[in-house]
Amino acid sequence: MDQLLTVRDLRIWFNVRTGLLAGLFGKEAKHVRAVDGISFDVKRGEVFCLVGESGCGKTTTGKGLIRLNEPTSGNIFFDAPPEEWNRYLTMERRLRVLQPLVIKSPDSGGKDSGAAWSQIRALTGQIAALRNPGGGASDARRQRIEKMVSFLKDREQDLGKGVDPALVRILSKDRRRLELMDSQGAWFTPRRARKLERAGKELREARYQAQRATSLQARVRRTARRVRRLERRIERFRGHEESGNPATLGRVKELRRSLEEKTKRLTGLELARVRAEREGREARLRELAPEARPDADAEIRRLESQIAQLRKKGGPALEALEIRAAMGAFWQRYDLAGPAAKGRVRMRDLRRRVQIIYQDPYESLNPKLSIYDIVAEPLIANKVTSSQAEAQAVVTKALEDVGLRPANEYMFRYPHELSGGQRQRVGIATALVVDPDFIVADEPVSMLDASVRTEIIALLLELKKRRNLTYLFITHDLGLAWIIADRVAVMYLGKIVEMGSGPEIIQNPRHPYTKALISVVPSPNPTIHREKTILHGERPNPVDIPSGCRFHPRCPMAVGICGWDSEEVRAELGKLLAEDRATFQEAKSVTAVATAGAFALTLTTSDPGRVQTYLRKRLQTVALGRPALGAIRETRSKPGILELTLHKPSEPQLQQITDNVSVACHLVEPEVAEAEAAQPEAVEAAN
Amino acid sequence: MTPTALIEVDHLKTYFDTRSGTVRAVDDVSWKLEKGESLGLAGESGCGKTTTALSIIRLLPKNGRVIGGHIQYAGKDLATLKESDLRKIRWKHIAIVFQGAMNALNPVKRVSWQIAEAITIHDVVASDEAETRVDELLELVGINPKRKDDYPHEFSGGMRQRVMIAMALACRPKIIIADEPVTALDVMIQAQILELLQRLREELDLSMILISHDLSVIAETCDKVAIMYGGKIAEYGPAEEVFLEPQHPYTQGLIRSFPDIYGPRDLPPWIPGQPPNLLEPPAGCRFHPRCPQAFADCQVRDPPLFETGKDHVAACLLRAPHT
Amino acid sequence: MAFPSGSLGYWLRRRLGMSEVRREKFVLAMKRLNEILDAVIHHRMGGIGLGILSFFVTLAIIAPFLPIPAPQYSFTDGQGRYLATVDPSWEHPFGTDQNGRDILSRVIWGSRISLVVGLMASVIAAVLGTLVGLISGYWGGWRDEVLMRVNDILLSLPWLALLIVLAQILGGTLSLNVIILTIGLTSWNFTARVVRAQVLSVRERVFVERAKASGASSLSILRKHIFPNVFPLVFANTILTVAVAILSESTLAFLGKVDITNLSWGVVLEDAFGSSAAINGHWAWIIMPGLALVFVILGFSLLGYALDEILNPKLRER
Repeated sequence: MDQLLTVRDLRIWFNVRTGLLAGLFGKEAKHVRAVDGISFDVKRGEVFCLVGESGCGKTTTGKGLIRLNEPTSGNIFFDAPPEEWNRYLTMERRLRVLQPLVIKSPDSGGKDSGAAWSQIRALTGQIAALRNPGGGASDARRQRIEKMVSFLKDREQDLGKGVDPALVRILSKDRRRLELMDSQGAWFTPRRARKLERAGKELREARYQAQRATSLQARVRRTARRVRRLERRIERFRGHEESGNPATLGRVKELRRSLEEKTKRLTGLELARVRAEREGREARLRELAPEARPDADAEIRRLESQIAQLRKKGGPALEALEIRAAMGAFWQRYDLAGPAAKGRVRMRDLRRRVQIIYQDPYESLNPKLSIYDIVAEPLIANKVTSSQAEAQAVVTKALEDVGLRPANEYMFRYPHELSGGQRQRVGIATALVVDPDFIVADEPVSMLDASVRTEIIALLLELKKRRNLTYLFITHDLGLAWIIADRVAVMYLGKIVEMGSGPEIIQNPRHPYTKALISVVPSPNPTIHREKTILHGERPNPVDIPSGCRFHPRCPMAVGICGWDSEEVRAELGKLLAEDRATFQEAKSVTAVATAGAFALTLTTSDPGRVQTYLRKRLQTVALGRPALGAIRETRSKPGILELTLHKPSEPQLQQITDNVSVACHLVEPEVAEAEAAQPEAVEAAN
Repeated sequence: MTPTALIEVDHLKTYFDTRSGTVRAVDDVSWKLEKGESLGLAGESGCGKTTTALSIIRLLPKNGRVIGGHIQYAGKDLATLKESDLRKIRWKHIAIVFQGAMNALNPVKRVSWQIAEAITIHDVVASDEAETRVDELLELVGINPKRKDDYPHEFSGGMRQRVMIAMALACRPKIIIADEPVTALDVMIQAQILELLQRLREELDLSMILISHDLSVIAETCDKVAIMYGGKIAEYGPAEEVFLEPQHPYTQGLIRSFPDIYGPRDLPPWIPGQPPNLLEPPAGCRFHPRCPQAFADCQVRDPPLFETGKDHVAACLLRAPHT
Repeated sequence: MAFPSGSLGYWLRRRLGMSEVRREKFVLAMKRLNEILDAVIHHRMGGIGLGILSFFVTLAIIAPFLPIPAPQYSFTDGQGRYLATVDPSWEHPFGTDQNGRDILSRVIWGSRISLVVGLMASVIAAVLGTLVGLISGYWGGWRDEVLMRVNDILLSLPWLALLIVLAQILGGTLSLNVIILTIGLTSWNFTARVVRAQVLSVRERVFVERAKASGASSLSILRKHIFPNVFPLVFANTILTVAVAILSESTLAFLGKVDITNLSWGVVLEDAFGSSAAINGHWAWIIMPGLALVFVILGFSLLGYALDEILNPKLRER
């Protein structure tokens, strides 16, 4: 079980503001159902692509994962250890089994089991107290002390090996000095080296200025003079590099010796101190060790038997309650979508492990901040580093990792001095700087030039390998998904319509929407000729989601059961009757077509019987071309009117079609021999 | 070639005056557009495709001027034509759908008003005739005429693009220039708009110049293609030939760098480096700093367009005829 | 040029012991200030405005060192009467007032108080207005409603009447601090509204969302993201407010509500009015302080206008 992220039935709905009067008159508040119940999981180290057109909810999902949008319901489980996850799944299954029993049991109201549950909780608390005589807090305290002891042990080891970070920091100044002298020549103290570096920088700047000088004569001369002056100064500096002056060499040896001495002395001191502290802590730990109280054991056994009795009496309702409490605890720990995740500490933990790369490289960087500020912000906000030097080192490394080398050139520039591709690299560096495990990449290359796109994609893949990242890649470009996706989920209007292995879905799409989408993707190869299924119309407003299958109004393969409602059928029927008016007598006799509820129609006519037979015959011939009419399930003639009832709509669920593809469509049947219908892929992964 | 070309651009040069110097945005560009044909101008951003199109109808910013070359249309040279005469050509003969046009609609005016404005500015028509014409145009581009009194924000991106196309067709032009018409749109809407353009070309016998940085779009819709780089034409010829057998290293690199869902699943190779600074383009061939097949002569000689096939030319010294 | 960003800057900074990051950022900031200064000087109106203001501010600063008589020194003629000369002469280029005091020196010394009051009052107004605008724009909700209602209420208060009433309550004349405070507290309206509108627009930009995704606290976002994008606007606005503040103070002084020991141009004008200078033909007495006011306000307006043009398009740097 190497899942990093499991999303279960996620819904993100936004409120549509109703006017004051409308609210007063009781009009129902509408919701924009941007994400309407999706479930998927992302395995560690893979690239999971969320594909779809604009408005399908993919960006909302991505932002919901990092809590920039508030999920309305559902779970987002992040990084649950495999055993706990298995336990959770078992609990879920057991709960499903228990559910019908609970309803049938006499205590379906839950009062008795509620009381029993609180009793069990109290007893468990007593047992825990008996086990730890030091009080409830001592368990936590002991854990803390143990952690401290192990930390101190590690430090001892580091000191022994000479790689203790604190010591390294203290001695770094001397070490650097030595390094400098070794590398550049004994004349170079850090101060002189800094001067040289600065002179070099100023020379570069002056050269740049000289190049940019306009036709004002004074400017040109002045800048040229400055360039010459700086060049001469650097010459002088360089002259000293080769000096083999014995006095300076002696200084180097002296420095080396004193450094070694200092190291030994400090290490000795520090080692002694750490050892003393460790021993002190271990002594404390021994003090706090639980004393074995013989009578406590008997007491514990008595309480436990009490609990067992309560459980036996309680029956399924109690068990369901317990399971739900345990699941709640699991949600508390691992669910990113719940209120528990809003706490400060949890959020910080989340932000350190899940990051986002934005789409727009121009808008997502604050034009008033330097690149250093932009990249260092997550470090400072999450208190990852302790000093500015450390922050600078991390930022430098991040910038170099994304290909902006040398980092110093870029760190102190403003975003408007960089190109689009470079800005996007800065965005990636900002996401990487806190060393996350999971990155949501929201269309990271769609605003870049086509030629820069592949560079950035290559960078993202390389970073994935080097840093063990997992990507949720949101894109509308299927060509990109083809190249980089391990798994793909195609979204439409807030639901996943097809999900599975990337190459399989793109080469062999099964859902009508996916098929249409793949067919219209342009290819730079003009000899590829294929039938393009261009869908007519545009996607509907997420406030008014079509009934049944969301795609049915635009689906080229829709049939009667796909969820037509009475409005749509009425429109279609009206058209048919208008066309038949000339040829069929019965069509003329229909005076009105009206809707009677969401899935029924009434036709007012003088001769319902004849119209009924006419309709039956006619529908058989035209139902293929006009799928809305195929939704008419039965007709009933009453005096003066003809009643039509439509098929009840049902939203297709994601079904496992082959072992690595699942599709949500009424028309697609599983290709597996033992078709286990309606098994979401998440549960499948549990097997 | 017999002079049957509808519009012929000949050695066009358009330069911009900026504080830092003269930007040679379009530097000796020549191509022909026949009647009923569609020509694609492809290249990275900044290579001069939009400037070429704007030079034809002289809608350049204040600091841009056409300093050389000819643009032959209907027996006149548009490069040297008087402004008053050019105004008769603009929109009535040659219309343009600008880049990002879907955001160029006036948000406080109804769509019907905006299209009618396009009509009445160029033709003297009675207002009810303009109304009927607006309805016709909306139907032509596939918008329900009942929506003509809606405001732009009530339309989606794709529909706004259709409105812009309707505006461009307002005066029944012969040539339509589409500057990145589908760049910001989803792939399905992209297909719808491209299909619309194709249908309009057939119904109204239009010729089209399509500008895009997306080679796939051009490969699918254009008959001829001109690949531009650094303000010059790198390769020019029939689309199928150019895409199947590109002769210029830049074209080869560019085509290879596009992901193709009908091709292999590898990350496509990209062209390293950046497009040249048009203030001081590199000496010799403008592509030589990034070209994998450059040799010594490329730094010195700026190659002219050599013939590499029927109507197919490429500006590369590798294609120079060997004596 | 005016801001040390080259070697001198580096030397200064090394002396002050900043880390490399701080140093580089300091260099960047200085470079940016230099750019702005350059732009202002080369702007058509900015240069003129800056020139005028530099002149007056320099004059105000070096006033104690100028070879002019003390402003409260009354010149007497031979018989011990006040020397109330009318005509400008070499000794008294603007003449003297009814108590024999040299008007030129009074105008020069008066500029100090006028400018100080103007600057301080508008700084108060700017700070208050920015704070209110930031809170109201960023958090919205009830804070926004409350603050904007307060804003509306204050907008309808006539500050002049308020000050006159205050003067009555506090016993006749107002001290400098009261004037500064009151002008400041009544001028923050416009700034607050402007800042609030800008904050509302900046708040929606993608980099603010990214900062939230990075885990920055609201305060940190306000400080690092919203304020720098709002500040140029505030600065340009404040410069214009200074002009208004100076004028307000002069108005108050002219109405006689100011403690006359705080010599400002309004006080000089009030003296002129009180001694019927116009009727007596002492034109220099009236016109000189008036012209000084006009020029200073013109200078601030030009500078504010130029800064607005320069800083505004750069709010969206690409």
